[in-house]
Amino acid sequence: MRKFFTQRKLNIIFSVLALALMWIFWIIAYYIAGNPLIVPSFTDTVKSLWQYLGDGQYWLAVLNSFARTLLAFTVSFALASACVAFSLAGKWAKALLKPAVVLIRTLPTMAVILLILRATHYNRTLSPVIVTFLVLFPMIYSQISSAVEGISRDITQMADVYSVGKRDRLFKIYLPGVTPSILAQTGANISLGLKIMISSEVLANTADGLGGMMQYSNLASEIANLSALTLTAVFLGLAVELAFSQLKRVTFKWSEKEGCGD
Amino acid sequence: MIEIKNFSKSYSRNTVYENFNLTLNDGEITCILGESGSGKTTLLNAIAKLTEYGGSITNLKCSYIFQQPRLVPNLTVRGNLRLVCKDENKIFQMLEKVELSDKAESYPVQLSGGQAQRVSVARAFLYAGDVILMDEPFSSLDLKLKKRIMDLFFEIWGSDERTAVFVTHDVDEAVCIAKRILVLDRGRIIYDKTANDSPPRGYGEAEALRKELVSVLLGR
Repeated sequence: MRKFFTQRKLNIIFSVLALALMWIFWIIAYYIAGNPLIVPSFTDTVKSLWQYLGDGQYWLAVLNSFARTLLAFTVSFALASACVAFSLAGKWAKALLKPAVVLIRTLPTMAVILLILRATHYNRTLSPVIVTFLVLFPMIYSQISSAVEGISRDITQMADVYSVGKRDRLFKIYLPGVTPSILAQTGANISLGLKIMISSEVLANTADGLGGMMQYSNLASEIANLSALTLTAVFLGLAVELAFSQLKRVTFKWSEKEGCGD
Repeated sequence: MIEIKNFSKSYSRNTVYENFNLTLNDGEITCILGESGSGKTTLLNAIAKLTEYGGSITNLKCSYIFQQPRLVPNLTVRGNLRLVCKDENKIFQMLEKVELSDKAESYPVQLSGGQAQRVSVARAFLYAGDVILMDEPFSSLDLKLKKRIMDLFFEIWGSDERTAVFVTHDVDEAVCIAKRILVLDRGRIIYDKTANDSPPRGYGEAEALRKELVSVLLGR
């Protein structure tokens, strides 16, 4: 009995149990609310989702929202990497960057959307991308900065003693040293970016994105549709996080211990 | 020859060395003995230019066998050795000498402590340095493994005979390995002896030398 229930199987069983509990809570909430305009039924939501799956506009909206998220993430990552590289020049460089990073981090997101909408002459596609960038950039900058600082001082000292060249240091020590932790956080970052993107699209009323579809469903009181679109966003975020966690597991076999002996 | 002149080093308000002088001869294994906090590692790090200091030390290319192997975790054994030597033939031969040919494509996480330290020894000898520095390299190993790696070190050193400076607090290790033994106490040399015979000595041999060192260390 014990052998059958391995840790992996137990994890799956508990995850399924948790999902079942969530489903039960949804049904209970539906009956307590007693109003499908507040809490739609699970059945209606699934029906809506099923209808969406056959709708080309839906898939275009999913693709657009996801593509914009990836764009915002890519720009955030590239700029954050460049800033971290610059900050390695010395303490003065880090001090120079700090106010800008803090400012960007503390900007109120919703207010920024409205300001950027005005600044971009109500470009409803660009403003969500900019807002998502403003949320992701300071976070990714901190993550990369911490990862670089986390590279073992013992290893950098060894590299100093043995006069390891700059190219070898960058490609064989620093980049591989920071990549696992950055990869681990990338899934969560993109998932968060998607959430911010959709929120921004709602506010900016971006017609060809998931946020725009949600806004329309809300205004038309099509709550089952709204619920189905919300589930879409959840599944998308989960899929991204799962994909990156699997990627890390496959890629970094040097972090997994095997049996050894002397 | 390594010349250390007027060497000074302080940490906060704690002066470890002040106007310290020492000359180390070429081709010899010199052991620096002393208790923890006596400044042994500080001296080694200064020779390796890993720390700032006052005074002058001969500028040398150093190999360093650390207490922990300090292997780059994302590189295989071969990859770690390629960082210090690009000659594949030499790497191949060295891996055979340290009996790790079958572990060439293994990652450090897949090695035992003894295997990882053997890679560290291989790396030290592959690097074309002028001197080999060793900071208590056997302290984390059990007795049997310690002897095995010490024997391995001598086997390779025998055909190389580079100047080596070896730091330890273990009297038996010093007696086994060193030609010249120094005892440090608070940044000063309180004992300096060059043996008539040459290492390696068997573990437990050279009893007279061992007793002398113990009495010096205890008699402070």
